[in-house]
Amino acid sequence: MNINLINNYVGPTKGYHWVESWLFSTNCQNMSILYGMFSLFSGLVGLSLSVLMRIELSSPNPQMLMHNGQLWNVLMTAHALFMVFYLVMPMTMGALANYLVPLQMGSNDTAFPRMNNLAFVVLLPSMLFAVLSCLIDEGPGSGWTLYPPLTSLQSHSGSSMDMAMFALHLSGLSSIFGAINLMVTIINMRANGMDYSKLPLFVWSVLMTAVLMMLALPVLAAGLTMLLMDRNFNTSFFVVSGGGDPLLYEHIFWFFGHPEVYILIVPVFGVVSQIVQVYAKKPMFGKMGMIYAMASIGFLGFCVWSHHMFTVGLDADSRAYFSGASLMIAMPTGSKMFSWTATIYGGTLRWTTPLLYAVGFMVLFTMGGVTGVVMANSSLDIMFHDTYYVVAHFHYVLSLGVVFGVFAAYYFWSPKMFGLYYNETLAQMQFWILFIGSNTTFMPLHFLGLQGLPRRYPNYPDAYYGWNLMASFGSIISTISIVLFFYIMYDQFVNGLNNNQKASPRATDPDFTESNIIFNKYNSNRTSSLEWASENPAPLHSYNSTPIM
Amino acid sequence: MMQKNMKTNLYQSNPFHLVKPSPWPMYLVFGLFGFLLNLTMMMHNITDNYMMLLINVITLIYIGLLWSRDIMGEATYLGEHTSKVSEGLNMGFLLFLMTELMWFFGMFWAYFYSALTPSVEIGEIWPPMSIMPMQATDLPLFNTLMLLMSGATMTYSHHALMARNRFNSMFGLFLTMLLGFLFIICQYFEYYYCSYTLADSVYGSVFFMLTGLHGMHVMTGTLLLCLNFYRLYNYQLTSEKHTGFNTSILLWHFLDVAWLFVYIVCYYWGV
Repeated sequence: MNINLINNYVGPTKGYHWVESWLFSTNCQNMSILYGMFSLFSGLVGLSLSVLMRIELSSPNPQMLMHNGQLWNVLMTAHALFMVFYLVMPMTMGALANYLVPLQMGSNDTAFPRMNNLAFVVLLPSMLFAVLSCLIDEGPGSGWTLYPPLTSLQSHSGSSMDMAMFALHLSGLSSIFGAINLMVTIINMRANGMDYSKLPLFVWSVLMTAVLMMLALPVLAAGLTMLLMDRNFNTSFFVVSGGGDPLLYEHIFWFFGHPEVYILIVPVFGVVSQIVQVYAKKPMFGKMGMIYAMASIGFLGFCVWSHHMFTVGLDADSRAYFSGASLMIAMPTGSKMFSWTATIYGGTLRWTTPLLYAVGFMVLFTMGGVTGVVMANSSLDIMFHDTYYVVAHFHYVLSLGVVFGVFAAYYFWSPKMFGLYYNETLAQMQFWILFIGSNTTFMPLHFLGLQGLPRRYPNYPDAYYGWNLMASFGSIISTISIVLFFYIMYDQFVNGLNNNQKASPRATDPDFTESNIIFNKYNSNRTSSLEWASENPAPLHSYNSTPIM
Repeated sequence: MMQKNMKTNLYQSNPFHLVKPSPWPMYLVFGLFGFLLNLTMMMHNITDNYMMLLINVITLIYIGLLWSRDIMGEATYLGEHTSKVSEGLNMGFLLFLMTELMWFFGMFWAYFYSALTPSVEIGEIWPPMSIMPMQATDLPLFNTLMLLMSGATMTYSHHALMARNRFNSMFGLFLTMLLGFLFIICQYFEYYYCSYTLADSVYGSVFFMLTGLHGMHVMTGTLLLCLNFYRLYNYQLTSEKHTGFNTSILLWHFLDVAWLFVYIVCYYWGV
């Protein structure tokens, strides 16, 4: 027997290098890169679906779907599924968390490496099911919420709806495994002296998100199981004639669905906190407050689900409660926003790409949050429900919030992950093009919604032509920026300078306020968090000996 | 590039377990994908070949056993499970039970939603019009007693193990397994002679969903107990260190408590 196999695993066995690194891998860094590639791929699928929809909507009459409303609904469902479950969740809780959490708290790997692998691999059949469901039978034309009776056997009799549900089931399985793995890693595997108050904010955000995932996703699984039973095994959980109620599904779904949107955003809060304090050259303003804010956002996330259902006929008391509770979320979120602003205030700013993206996130997420406060009022929501105002709101917090945060994370940590630096000028151009493009896309949707354009229709009256055309132009601009992003990545991997060779003048400007230049060789960003203490990219299994804080 | 530190990594200076590459996650997913795909095809009459589904289930269980074999080897013979690793495994299992709790929470939500305000379609009463509910004092009470007794024998076995009493520990575990099997058999007969089915209004749906969910977990738990009996028989569990046994005990007690709720809600309160 090879000595490597007797001792702790130290590297791939000879001859099976590729297979052991990428298929049977139990190394969190390899898993991180796999998650990242998966997420990029799904992001491109989701993006192309959204561009198709914007092309269709660029004019009041049918452009390319030729009155096929079901196809429109399928495009919309697939766009949502790919963006939520296959782009953002694998990117934040998969790629970023897997790479950074062990590095930032000084552990070698995650707690359950095999389960980590399982969590990623389960995503592949999950996405396969999502793709299959769109390609065969009539497709899942229900939106990502899968409300019955639209998803019942009477409305979608083919197998595609079952496949979409299995896709969500498997994705939930993946998230639960990932969440348990990361939680145990964070609780159990911190380096000596790395107590909870010293944990970087990104690790805290991952911990909060993992708690949310662990509590929310099984409820979705319960709801989906009941839906599948209703469809295929003759039960009547949501069938009115049997004494069931479709509204029950909406409750169960949104009890998962609302924490789910915090699952998407909270890791990005952590990312932005890390980036802002580095490029403002100041420690985080109110770090404990940030942690408590994330915790209370997570807790409140479980108490507000019915604000997605204000128009279903809840009684006035429930609506009053859910309005109040939803408005309350603005407080911890606002306190985070003020803390970031206070961190920037008086700081020595270096306007690098990550900081541009982080500030972009702050501005746009605030706008999305403000429209959220408007809609949290159940009386106003009677008007806004199912209009483009809602679409504008959640694209401002997700597409411009989460995705900007993910870009910020990529530009901040990709030199760490690959040891190669990107072209700063191109990256900043990419930011501005995306900023202009996405705002051109989503800002007009507010106006359309306020004028009463309902969502989920491929056609619309001529009066809405102008703003819709502008939004469609915006989506083309965003696409150009994504193409540029892929060129930047290509340039980084092929021509990218090593981080040690003063690749980015902006990142290595002389800095007189900071004395932390111990790790200067690898730490051109001059951060204080632990991940920059190792070389770029981090060695296999991160640390040879456990660091002592 | 990544293998730069291979040599220095030959010794370990941390208490954690760096797991070797493993094919089981990927193989397990093959089984899972096949299972769900065949299930979809069967549900839509694209195929009526039950064998494929059966093969998938066997694959899943087989891969699961191979995976556990790896874990048992690492724990018992390679000494990879330091106390820090055991702590992590225990914690992970507790978190997994938390997800199970939330799953039950979703199902109970369905029950109470349907039961507390019965709709007009079922006569605004619970249980619905013309449903003959099961007697709580009948077989279900016997089942409750058996499951609670199995909790006691489980503790008996655990304490005997900690007191290094091999015979009593194995005897207690055997009794627990037996009670688990008996519970499943009784549950089978209860379903078999039940006057209503899964398809009889939302009452039948939530009843069979809750009890069935619990029953499937009891089956899994009994399988885990069998695994532990095998390990106990082979001197793999020690009085100091028996993480797998601990987690199985946790699951078993979780099922006890869950059953109490299921019993009170489905058999006693909802009648």
